[in-house]
Amino acid sequence: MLFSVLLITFAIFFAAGPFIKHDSAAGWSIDRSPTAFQIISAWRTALWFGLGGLCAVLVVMAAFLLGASCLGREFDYGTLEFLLTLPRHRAYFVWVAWAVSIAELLLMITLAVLLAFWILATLGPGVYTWRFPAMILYLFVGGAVVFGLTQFMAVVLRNSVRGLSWSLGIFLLHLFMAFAINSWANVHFPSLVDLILESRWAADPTKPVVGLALGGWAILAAAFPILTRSVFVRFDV
Amino acid sequence: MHVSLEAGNAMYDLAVSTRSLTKDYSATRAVDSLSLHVPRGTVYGFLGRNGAGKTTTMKILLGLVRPTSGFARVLELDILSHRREILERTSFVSESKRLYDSFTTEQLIRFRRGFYGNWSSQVAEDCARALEIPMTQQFRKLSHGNRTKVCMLLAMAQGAELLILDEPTTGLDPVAIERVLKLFVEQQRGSGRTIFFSSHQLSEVDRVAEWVGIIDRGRLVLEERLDEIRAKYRLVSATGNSLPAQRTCQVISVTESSGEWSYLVTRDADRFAAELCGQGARVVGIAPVGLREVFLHLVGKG
Repeated sequence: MLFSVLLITFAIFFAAGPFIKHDSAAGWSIDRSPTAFQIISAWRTALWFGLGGLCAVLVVMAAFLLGASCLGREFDYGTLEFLLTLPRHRAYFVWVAWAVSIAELLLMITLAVLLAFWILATLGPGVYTWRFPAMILYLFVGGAVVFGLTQFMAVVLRNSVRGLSWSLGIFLLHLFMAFAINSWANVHFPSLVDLILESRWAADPTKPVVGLALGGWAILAAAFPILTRSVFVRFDV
Repeated sequence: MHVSLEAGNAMYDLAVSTRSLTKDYSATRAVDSLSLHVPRGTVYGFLGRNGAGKTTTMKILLGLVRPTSGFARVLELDILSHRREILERTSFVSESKRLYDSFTTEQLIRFRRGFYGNWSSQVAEDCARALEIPMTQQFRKLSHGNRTKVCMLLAMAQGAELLILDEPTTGLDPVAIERVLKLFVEQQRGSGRTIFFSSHQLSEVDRVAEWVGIIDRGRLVLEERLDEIRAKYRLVSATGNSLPAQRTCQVISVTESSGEWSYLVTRDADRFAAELCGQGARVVGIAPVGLREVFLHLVGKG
């Protein structure tokens, strides 16, 4: 449902782009006869934000689902006894699940970003393709944080659906907190959405590629599997 | 460290030994100072009512549950420090018998055998044939009985020294139970492996087990060789007034029904009957007892 709404919004944005003009003096207006150059330029902009937004939404959704399912599903299906009586240390299962899911996430992000760049490049020059690794990095770190949080919650709560719900709740709460602190105290509180939105800067050479916030989120992304491991190796089945 | 048990005139090496093993879940004590001894190369039946602590004990032995206190050794290895080595040499069939739904039996075998160096494809084939297991059907589409059989196959083919089976025959039809039990006996005789299994089917345990442990409310109330139980215990029935109602080291349990007192006694039932007669009782009979009577007297009281 959410995905359909996003697709429709993107399609409308994409189709209407060339016909909408914005001028700082006159404000928003409708251009009934755009030139071919205006059409291509507007579609590029629309595609850029649309595809970038879709990539970000897909990454976050995939990270939530992967995080909930990779160990949480063992609780749901009652297969944990089978898994944990295999002759491996419990930490092995955490790291294997983490590594496979992270690899899936990275592959998905890379394909999505490459596809976005390819579509944009076909519409004309001006896309800084040499920066696409930075865009992948931003999306990947954001996705890894969401994935790690969801996996951790699913293990702590021993249920994939509850883990997903709590993780989603924490995600939304941190967005609200960031917004509230920003609005009321005028202090910038870094949120994951900032990080994911920063990925669009990859097309803009004037913006920094790696920021302090990225490092902080990367540390958090690395901390979640360690926390998950410490819970997973101790609990009773 | 070498662990052994002296019983009667024999010494047994132990596949499983526990000392004062205790597990608390919040206010509930699931296992209470359990001292269990499972001799190597035997079939050991672990009996108890629902919630007596059988499954928890098995899970502690496999490292699925951490004990609150006490010690346990499996195949002479400490369960806390050698979990992985124990799991390499032990196979387990859980009570729930849940495996991956989307896997076929063949895929489950392929998945599982990669973890075990002693995996025997021959045993897997023999089990599949003997138990008539559908190999290409997804686990989710199998009947409960067939799921149990797949779990048994995976446990048997692993080549483990110790099989821990939690109610392995639950959900099987009589023919399948017969085949599984036959497989048990063949496996145990052929390889000398130890089978430690829990069951509610006393007749099954009576047929295949050499040793029996009975657990009640987390405590081990009896651990004996089955033939010792048959030889040692007698049920003395008596009527009369003011008969002794308390247990002693000779009297294992006392029950009263419609004025008739039943004493489950060990050692010298004739002398105990004579003592009752001396107290004015009329002894109705002295009967040998089977596992069922012993179990019911020990855990079915009150």
